[in-house]
Amino acid sequence: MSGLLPPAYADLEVLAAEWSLPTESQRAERHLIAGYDELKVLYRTLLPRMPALLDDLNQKEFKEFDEGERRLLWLALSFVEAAVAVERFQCSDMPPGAFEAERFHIGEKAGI
Amino acid sequence: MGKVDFATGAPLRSGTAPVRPYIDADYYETERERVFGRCWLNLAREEELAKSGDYLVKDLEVLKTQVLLVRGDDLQIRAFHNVCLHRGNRLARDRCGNSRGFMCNFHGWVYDTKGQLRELPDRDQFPHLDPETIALKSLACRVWNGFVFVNADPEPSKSLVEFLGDMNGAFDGFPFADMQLTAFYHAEVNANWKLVGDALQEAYHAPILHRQTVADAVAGPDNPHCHLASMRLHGDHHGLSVHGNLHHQPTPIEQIAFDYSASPIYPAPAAPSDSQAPGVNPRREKAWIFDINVLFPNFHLDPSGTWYGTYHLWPLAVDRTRWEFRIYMSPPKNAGDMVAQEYTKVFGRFVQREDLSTVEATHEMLRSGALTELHLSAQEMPLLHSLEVLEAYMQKPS
Repeated sequence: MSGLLPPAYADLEVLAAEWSLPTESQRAERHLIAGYDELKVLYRTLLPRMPALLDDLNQKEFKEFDEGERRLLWLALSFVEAAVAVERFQCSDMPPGAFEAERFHIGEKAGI
Repeated sequence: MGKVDFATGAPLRSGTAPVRPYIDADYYETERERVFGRCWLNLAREEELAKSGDYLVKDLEVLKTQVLLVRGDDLQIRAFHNVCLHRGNRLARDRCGNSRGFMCNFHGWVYDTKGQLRELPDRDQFPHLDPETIALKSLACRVWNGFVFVNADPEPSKSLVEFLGDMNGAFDGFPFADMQLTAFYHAEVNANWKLVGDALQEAYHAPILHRQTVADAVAGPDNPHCHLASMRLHGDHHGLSVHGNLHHQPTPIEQIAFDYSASPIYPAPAAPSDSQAPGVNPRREKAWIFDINVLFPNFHLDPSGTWYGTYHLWPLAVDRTRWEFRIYMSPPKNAGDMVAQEYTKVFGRFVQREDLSTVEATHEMLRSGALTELHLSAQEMPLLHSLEVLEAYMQKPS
């Protein structure tokens, strides 16, 4: 599990093992099987780290990213999934009555 | 609030809408022929067919066909029914690709990218045929602002330019070509195609249906019912400008997205500029978030200042629709910009799932026959306009 992220983010390795996923559809699928508590952990851990994390990654062009930086970015993108659920709905997905996530399809696009 | 740009001089009005067009199977059958069989329909962006030989296969269930779009050696994009002239087999089998031509997998007839028959195996056994004179069955195909439209009528009564009318110059200067497909979402919805489209062409529903998501960004104390910033009728089509709340309080993730995005992103106010396309927020309202342009019958082109979205409502049956939503943005400049764009996408997914949450139940209840008409406010005038345009097509016999 170690060594996935840049050394300054070693404390996020446990989250990265679960959430560093390269495509939007993979992140959304992972979101769907997560419980609300798991989303809250991802959200609360990453929220205070995001500005410095993005400032760090913004120092480089995408093409210069190493594997650890790519994984850190993917983790930040999964944070977005969790953040919308936590901030807007206070539940793992959406309240009953929403159009079902399983019927809402995400067209595949290449990640970086 | 509620100001109107009257391209037609028509007054802003409320009214009633009939229920029958949404639920009646006979009406739908006539719609297929008189509306979808006659109107120009958007099928693709030209960037999807960048090089000669690039092709796409698109299902057009409403016309019971499949369309093969291909860019020829002369760089022109053409549209054909994806059917071999010999025995009617489906011609191209992959959904997309690049090819110098298309060989039918049944008996090996080969067509070039202009649709001309190029190889006819055992030609001597077809003495009645002159291969030089036959070509794939074509649809009319034209490109407007990079959007590839087809018309099932090979000789349409109106050219695409005539069909678009006042919409033609509205997007001049909009940087469509600088943007890339950033997200594509689709779903099969058990409701009439117009019910799905109606849910996406008014903002009256935002304070209620979207109370947990986008309501505060588009409504707010100065516009609690989310009146449109402006509205325009353009022949068969229309455009609306959606109000943005300049006092919107971003959530924590939203604040990060707004801080790190390279340009204003949904749901931030869009900062209109004098140099933007003339038909995009034409009043240059500062409290503005994006426009909704409904290009009759089933294509929505929704630009903001620095991004745009599209909807396609493809009828599958009177009570089934394939809903497609795409977001186009500039390529992300850095990681912060990419995270900001991801916020627009993820947040947008949830807003879309709210928009789609009512239409199936609505269709079920309309099918009950309990109602024969619906009551539309002046803010829902676009729905009335679409229905009136639809009825005009329906009244024109074949």
